[in-house]
Amino acid sequence: MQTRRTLIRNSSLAAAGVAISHPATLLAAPQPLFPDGYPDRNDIINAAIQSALAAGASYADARLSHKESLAVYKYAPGRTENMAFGVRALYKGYWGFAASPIWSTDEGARLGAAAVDQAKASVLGRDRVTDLAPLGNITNGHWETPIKQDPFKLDPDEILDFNYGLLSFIRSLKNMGNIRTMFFFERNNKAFGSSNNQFVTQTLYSASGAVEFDVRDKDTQSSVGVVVEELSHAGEGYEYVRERPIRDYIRSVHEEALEDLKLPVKPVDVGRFNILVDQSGVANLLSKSVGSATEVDRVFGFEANSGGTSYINEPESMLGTLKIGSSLMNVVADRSHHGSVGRVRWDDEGVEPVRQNIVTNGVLTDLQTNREGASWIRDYYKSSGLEFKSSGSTSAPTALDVPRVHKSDLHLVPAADNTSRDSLREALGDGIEFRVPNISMDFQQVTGVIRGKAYEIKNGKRTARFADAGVLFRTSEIWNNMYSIGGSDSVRYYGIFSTKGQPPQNVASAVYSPPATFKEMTVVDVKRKG
Amino acid sequence: MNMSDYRRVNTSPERVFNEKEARQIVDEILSYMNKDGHARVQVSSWWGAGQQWARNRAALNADQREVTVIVSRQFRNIMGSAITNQTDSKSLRGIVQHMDYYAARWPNKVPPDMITTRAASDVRGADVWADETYNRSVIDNAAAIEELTQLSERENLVSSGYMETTGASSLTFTRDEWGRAEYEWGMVTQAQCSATVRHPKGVGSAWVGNTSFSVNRVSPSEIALRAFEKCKQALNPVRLEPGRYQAILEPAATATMVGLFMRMFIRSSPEEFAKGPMFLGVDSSINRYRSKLGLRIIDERLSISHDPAHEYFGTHVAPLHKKVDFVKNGILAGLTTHYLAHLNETSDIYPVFPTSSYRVSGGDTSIEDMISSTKRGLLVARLAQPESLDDDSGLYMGVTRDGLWLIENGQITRAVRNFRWTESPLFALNNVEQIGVEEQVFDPVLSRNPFGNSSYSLSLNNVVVPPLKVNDFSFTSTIDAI
Repeated sequence: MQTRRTLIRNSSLAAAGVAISHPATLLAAPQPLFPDGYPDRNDIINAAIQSALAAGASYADARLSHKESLAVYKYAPGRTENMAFGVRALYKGYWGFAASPIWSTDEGARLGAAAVDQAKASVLGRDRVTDLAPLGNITNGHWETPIKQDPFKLDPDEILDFNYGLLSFIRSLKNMGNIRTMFFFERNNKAFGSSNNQFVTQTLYSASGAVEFDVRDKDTQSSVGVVVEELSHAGEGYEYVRERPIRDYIRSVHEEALEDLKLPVKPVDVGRFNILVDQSGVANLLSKSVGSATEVDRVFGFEANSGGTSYINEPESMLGTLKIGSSLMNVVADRSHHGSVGRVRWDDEGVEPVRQNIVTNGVLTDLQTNREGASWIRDYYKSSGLEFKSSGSTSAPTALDVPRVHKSDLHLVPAADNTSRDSLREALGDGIEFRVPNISMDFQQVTGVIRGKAYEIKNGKRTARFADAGVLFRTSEIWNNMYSIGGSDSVRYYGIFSTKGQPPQNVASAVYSPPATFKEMTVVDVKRKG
Repeated sequence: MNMSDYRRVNTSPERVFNEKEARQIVDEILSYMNKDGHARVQVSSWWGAGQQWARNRAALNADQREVTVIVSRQFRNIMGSAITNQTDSKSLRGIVQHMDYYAARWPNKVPPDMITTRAASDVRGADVWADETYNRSVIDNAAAIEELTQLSERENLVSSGYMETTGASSLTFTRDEWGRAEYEWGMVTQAQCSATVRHPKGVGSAWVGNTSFSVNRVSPSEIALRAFEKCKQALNPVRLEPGRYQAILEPAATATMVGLFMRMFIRSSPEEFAKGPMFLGVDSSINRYRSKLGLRIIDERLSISHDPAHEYFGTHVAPLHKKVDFVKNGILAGLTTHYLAHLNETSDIYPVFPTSSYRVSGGDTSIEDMISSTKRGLLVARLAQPESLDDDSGLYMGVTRDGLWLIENGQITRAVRNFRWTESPLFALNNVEQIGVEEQVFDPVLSRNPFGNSSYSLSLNNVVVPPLKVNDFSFTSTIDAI
């Protein structure tokens, strides 16, 4: 598409003598790799599945992915395109996987047989029992992330001009220091098929941004770092940029930073304090302490050699009984919300994700599962009356990657009233407030540290900034000490990346979280050495 | 439509491109590109066979192949880059178009002194391709895994782990602004194996791992046996008061500390001139930040270097194409940067990206001797999950993992509950009591393609470090995780 903006820019570039590889491309956007649509992906996938079944597989699935990304930031723009084809096969209870970048029926036949060969290598005498939870009603078809504007069909000048404009706007604000802006768009065309006669396709979009800057006091040389927390990974198109009031976000955090600079900075008092943690902090706490801990493969020791295990170490007896938090704590896993980065119609095993109650009134009531993992807790599902099926938590960055259980989109259910972060601060009276803190947790999610921007709260007002304040906590302690929580209007969305597995996979999932207050937490100076 | 009719692929039995195949692709891309300015084309291919086991059973065996084609060009102040993993003519032409299309829309956005090409080098490095790694069969590995998981089951322990053999090749074409061009060809293999052995009740855990370009140096059985022994010694850990302890850091723990230390040698953007403990304040006479080059920064018995001719590092796997002494006898001798302006300051700042391959000079004290000469201290297997608390001072926080033991009067007396630690590598490396024999540690490439994703990520993480006995290491709180 050529716009007036493009024409003006190209004309000026040409006038400046800017050389490019082919003059003809000056005005024309590169052609898409598949201008007339994809080759028949069903044929390619079917070749792989038939090959795997012919080689003796009891089950096989195959995935194709075509992922395009565009990064817009200050230097060196980047455009990436990746195609992948992965086949997974089950043979006598053992899994094999084979993947390459080649989409063809011939390659499908090779990968199908190779996946079975991989599985067969481990059949050396001892049984491995692998049950797959039933799929229920198998659905086929196509689904797309509902977006308003495809960033890959947009004139890139619009994205660039927006970024330049944003940089100029930020530079115009008072006492500005270093600035970093970045926007990232991704389109992933996926196809999945399995020996259960299922074939589905999806087009998933995501967008993310990062706006960070320092606000400096020129007299004292002190500075406050600012992150626009509303910009995180989301399941949106270009409307992510066009419709969000990004300048309002920036004005708001800039004003907050200017207020921060007026506050005195004090060393933190070590001891027990009631604390207020903002939405960002609670979201990260939830993702790490509950999201990671309730991934079924982690619970059963499949991540022991990489990320670690889980405090849920006896799932058979802990499901339905383990008290993780106070009765205010209700955690739902749900991948169906509009705008969620984890939203899909089918996961990478062809399962339609279900809404789950992970924590109910503070008690652990479910795990995030794939089809195999669900079978490990089948008895619990039977005894509790829950349907025995995968929760649909399987995903992988591309089809080249082995599908694994990753975090679903998590929701910490807010209070029924309209409690805001400001009203929680007022109700806190005296204590400490944490804004956009980091959460570090150990390799079993048992203990952790909250650290980051911290404020002294006196009579419900910010009266000072604390340098280097942190909170040491145990997971059960902090969630059981949660005594108030924000209402639905205070809930904010965060797209959070997590790394998992060997080789490591980076996958984003969403967390919806209100702010919350926690009583009598152990506050420390995190930089104080032993 | 079957796309294989026009696509050049790395199909079986050849799993990675040979030089001729890669050259053909590079030359085709060059035929689509303009001849002006800096240009860089990289064609790399990767194959990996990964085998995961858990709960004393093989969990999944995987065979994966990937290709990465990266093109970038800088002309005057315009720079563009694009990446694909397809090698048919349409895709190759397409990424050149993408590169130009986006580059033409980012004028004047290249940092004026950013180093966009690497200096040519005549250093010939060690060969890091091992046929035994490339030809290692999944069946051989599966048999080794079966043996060790059976043993684990018999010992009433629970084993999990990961074994991977990879091979990769890469051809890089670089042309500088004066038209001087060079092709650089390299092939690497890597084998890695790591195992975690836990007690079924969760009352003990141990980890052992190793990496090498040769699979013959990475024995799953040996690794598992060491992990079994360590796990048995780590059972039922007791709580200990946090505080400062004399700490014997096993090589894996030393590598974490030194890895954090190496991050301090980087000047990655003009804005970061002043950041990090390797830099002093502004010298107003030249309006520049002074570095600590030439000053003693750590224990004088320690030297840190990178040598592409050393068998651990090799030619093409090394981001540095020459031997570099980062620290010589405790004195800061080299820094790395992306920016030409930094290079003008001194000849000891190298025009390269930071290295993740390095060697710390060792001593001759065994870990047993370190233990026997310790009145009260801790033996630390791993320092995990480090996070920066303060970039300027280099203070980090993390946890111990998979093995922590109390030493009293020269003997290990009991396993200890894990600690959270808060320490600076600068402090630790300035408080070294004893230095052990250096060895290669487990530090595999995280990327599935050591040549891929970034035009500068030409590195395998080859880390050679000794165990260290360090005084007054700071452990700040106990953690419940085992």
